[in-house]
Amino acid sequence: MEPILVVRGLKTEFTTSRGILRAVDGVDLDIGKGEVLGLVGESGCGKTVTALSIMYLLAQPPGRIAGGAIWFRGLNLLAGSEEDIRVRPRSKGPPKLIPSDSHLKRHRARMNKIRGRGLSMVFQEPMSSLNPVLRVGYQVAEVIMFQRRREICDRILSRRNLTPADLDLFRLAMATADPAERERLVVDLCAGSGLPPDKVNALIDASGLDIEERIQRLQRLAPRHRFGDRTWPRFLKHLDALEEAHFAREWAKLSRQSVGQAAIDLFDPGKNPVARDLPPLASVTPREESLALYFRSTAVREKRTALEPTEGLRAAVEQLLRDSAKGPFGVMFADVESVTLGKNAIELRFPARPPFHLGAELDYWSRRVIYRILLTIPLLRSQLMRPVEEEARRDVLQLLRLVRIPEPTKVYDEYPHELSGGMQQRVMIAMALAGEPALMIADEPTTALDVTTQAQILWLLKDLRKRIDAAILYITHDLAVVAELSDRVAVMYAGKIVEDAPVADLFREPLHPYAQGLLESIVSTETRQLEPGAMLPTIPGTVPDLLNPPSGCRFHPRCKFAFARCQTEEPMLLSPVPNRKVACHLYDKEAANVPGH
Amino acid sequence: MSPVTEDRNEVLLAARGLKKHFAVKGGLLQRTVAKVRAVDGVDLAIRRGETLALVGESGCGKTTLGRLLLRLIEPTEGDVLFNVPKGAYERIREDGPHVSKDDGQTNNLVRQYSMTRLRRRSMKSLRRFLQPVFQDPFTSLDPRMLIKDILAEPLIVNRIATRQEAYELGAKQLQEVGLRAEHLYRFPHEFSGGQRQRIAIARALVSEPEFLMLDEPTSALDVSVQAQILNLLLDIQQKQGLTYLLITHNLSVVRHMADRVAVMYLGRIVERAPTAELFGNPLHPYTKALLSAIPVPDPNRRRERIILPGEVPSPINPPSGCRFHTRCGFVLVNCGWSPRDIATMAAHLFDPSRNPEAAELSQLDEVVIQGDRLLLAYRAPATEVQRERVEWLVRARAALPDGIRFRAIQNVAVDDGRIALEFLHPVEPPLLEVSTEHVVSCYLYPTAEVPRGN
Repeated sequence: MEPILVVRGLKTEFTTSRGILRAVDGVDLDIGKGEVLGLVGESGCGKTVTALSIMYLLAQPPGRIAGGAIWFRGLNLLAGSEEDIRVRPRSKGPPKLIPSDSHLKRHRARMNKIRGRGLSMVFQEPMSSLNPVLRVGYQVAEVIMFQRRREICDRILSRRNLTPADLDLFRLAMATADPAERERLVVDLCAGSGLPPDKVNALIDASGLDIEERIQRLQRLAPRHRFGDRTWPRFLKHLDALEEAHFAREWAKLSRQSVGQAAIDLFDPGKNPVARDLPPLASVTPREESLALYFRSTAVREKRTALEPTEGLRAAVEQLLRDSAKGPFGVMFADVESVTLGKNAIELRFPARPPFHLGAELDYWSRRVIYRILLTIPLLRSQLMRPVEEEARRDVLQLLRLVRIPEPTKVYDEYPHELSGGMQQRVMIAMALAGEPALMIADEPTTALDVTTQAQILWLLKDLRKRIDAAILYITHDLAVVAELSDRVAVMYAGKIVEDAPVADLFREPLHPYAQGLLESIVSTETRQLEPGAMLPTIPGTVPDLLNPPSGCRFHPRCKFAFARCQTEEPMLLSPVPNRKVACHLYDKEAANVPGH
Repeated sequence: MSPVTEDRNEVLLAARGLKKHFAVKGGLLQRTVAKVRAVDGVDLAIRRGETLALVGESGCGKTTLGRLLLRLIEPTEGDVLFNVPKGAYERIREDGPHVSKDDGQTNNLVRQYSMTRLRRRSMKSLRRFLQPVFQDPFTSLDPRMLIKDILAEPLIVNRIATRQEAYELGAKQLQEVGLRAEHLYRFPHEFSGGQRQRIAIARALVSEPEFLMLDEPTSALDVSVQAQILNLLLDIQQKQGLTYLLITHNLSVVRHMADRVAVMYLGRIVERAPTAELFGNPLHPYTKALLSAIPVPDPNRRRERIILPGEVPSPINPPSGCRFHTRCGFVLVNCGWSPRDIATMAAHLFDPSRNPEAAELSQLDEVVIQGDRLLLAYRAPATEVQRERVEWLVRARAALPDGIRFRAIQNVAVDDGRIALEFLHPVEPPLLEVSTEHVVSCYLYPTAEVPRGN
């Protein structure tokens, strides 16, 4: 499966008054296209911090991503963020954190482009993530106006007149008695023609009027291209396109610069077994549009001599890129255009970037400033954004229908407190889906809900999986929910992944003692016939304090299989069985003869 | 006569026709504009030593009922009985509040055992026997009190022990729930969720109660901690012979903990049965939906899901007849369909300008709900021909697969120039005992003949 998100050795820490708290300590995750990965663990295991690190939504300071890489569709999300906070040690007290504004701002702006359209997130408490003073519909529309403005402007510009098919829809809507069916027809009619739904509804309900009269009024409503209505959307669209191009260029530049480390991993036989037959890499030099690879000879006597690249080596490198294109390290080299023999080096050439026009760029920034100033004036803002907002409204109604909210036109104008918890969570899901993301992170979306509402939301997510093309990272502490929804499960404990397995395998035979304990402690009505009133098996103890984690395997104080080695040596995430990984000494081949299991 | 006696009678707590209506104030003068019927006529007995589970979605009134049973709030109507002998309870129950038989003897019995008619002072002496454990341990502990003070307070307030004894008893109790003495001098914020819930349980137990109301004791906790807390509760119950009322929406917990289960929907109890019976043979469609909503921790097992459409209707104006009929998958004609279920549809169906099939009718001016009748006011006074047309439309609609609500229309008549659609008078299905101890309120089970097993 093609991976869309690859996390390698992610480390996130928080500076507290009692020292540095490593909430996430070397997490590796892979999520394939369209895959649902369940991330499970008790509270305080670092699940949410992992999600926030991926989204780059951590409060910084006190939080800080201390290491690792997050590759999303071939882009390093952390590129350019390394400089955002400089840590200056002090002789007394905690180190001083100095934010570096310009880097921070540029990286933030880039992340804003990724968030929503590439990655989106559904939070645990819908009531605290929705703005209580804004109407629900506007909050969803805002997302669309921000993320898909170009598309919306396009649609305003290509707005068509009413067709006979639209009029038939209107007739049908008037004739149907079922409110849900009528709602569906109205939304269809409005999405196609660009009519405001409230006016269409008013016309349908105008019982005093003759049918023909109502159709005439509808037609009169339709041609809405008033003079000057089109210049503003065109300008906005232009601005958006320029902005997009600008950020695309910057991303490409940064990603290229950060591709060096990826190349080292790619040619390291320890990490990428395909690279076994190649000579060791001496150094990597990233350049503007290419990457130069220097190799050294393997012969022992000529230890430090550079290897003169040959045609055979070039072919081998090309082959390696092809072989590992699907792997986690090859993703970043997917767009390599050619592999050529250079002077003393092999050059990976990337596609050339579009030429840079200084004039257009200057013009763009001055226009952008004008636009920003204009939009700070509330009256102007509401006037200028009105056509965009009206257009976004149609998209919102479609989205609300997608997440199965009944009567979307009514819900659009309601405030969050007027909706139930389940409906609020649906609105949050609609917002997350508004940018058509490639990966949706759902952070305990059903924990605060009733069992029946949880069933509704889970059913909705399952249904959405079929209809949208998004991968889901589902964070929860309830393994039963994971069993319902996900393809693969990663179990997290004290900031580390301890087990990663396909869902069926994990539930059939959990390997890590922590995963075993979690599975046993589920109170279930169906799978295990437990004597009612009998004691439930539990995991003794609690999640350790991450300021001072236990030595060796972090689970050893609570583990019933722990032996001497667990206290001193930290287990690696290894793969004893194909397709699954576990970090436990019990499954280490060297320790196979250790008693206790 | 005080109900506090040395006798340990069979029925520890009972609700008799219990109602709690909250007033919704509105307007300039803050007058009562509506009533939220949170608990609307509940009869329930909790026997000594058992665990009774109260199950339902949020907003169905289970927490309100729990608070009423502890008399934390005063009921609008009905009584909470305390420590009733079985015989007396049977007599009070037989001529219950629904049979208006104003018999002096019954009234005397009720007065004798009623806890809600006690005065403040005599109620206070009872409080130590009835203790609550609340859902969220993050808000139910005072953040400014040390754990030792939290644990001693119930004893000092109820004047059970002197200050010195109270601290000793509190420390002892803390060890009972699996915490250590060193935890006494800490504040609540220093503990994890599971530990706080243990402290809340210790606080409830310190006055040696007979009854604990557990209001969602584990729903704010992790799965692994949930198992620890449930084990603790079971252990305490076995040691001290406590009686539990377990309020939850998590049916897996119920199966593990409870002896009997009562399912609540919109302020009414719709099904009540011993746990094994309820899980093996659920009868009410709402219970079936609740059971099917539990996620199964096994990826290879797929279960037929009943997804309930929509949400719990507003308890301000609950649906007539069976309150569940608007979301039920097994509706019958007599489930309680009323004019308001079809009012919006009627405005379309019988309007000639919207429905070509109704073209013969004159213009529809108004649709009025009047009791069990829906009145259609046309511009021209209705004639027999029009009545026949409306009747034909109703029959046609009723013949459709989803036309159940139109099938409940009994008669189409002309009344004062308007056309009246007369509905079956909605009656709530009574709670009938279908087998031993298994009580259900649903028209699907009119008699004791019940389909057995699956």
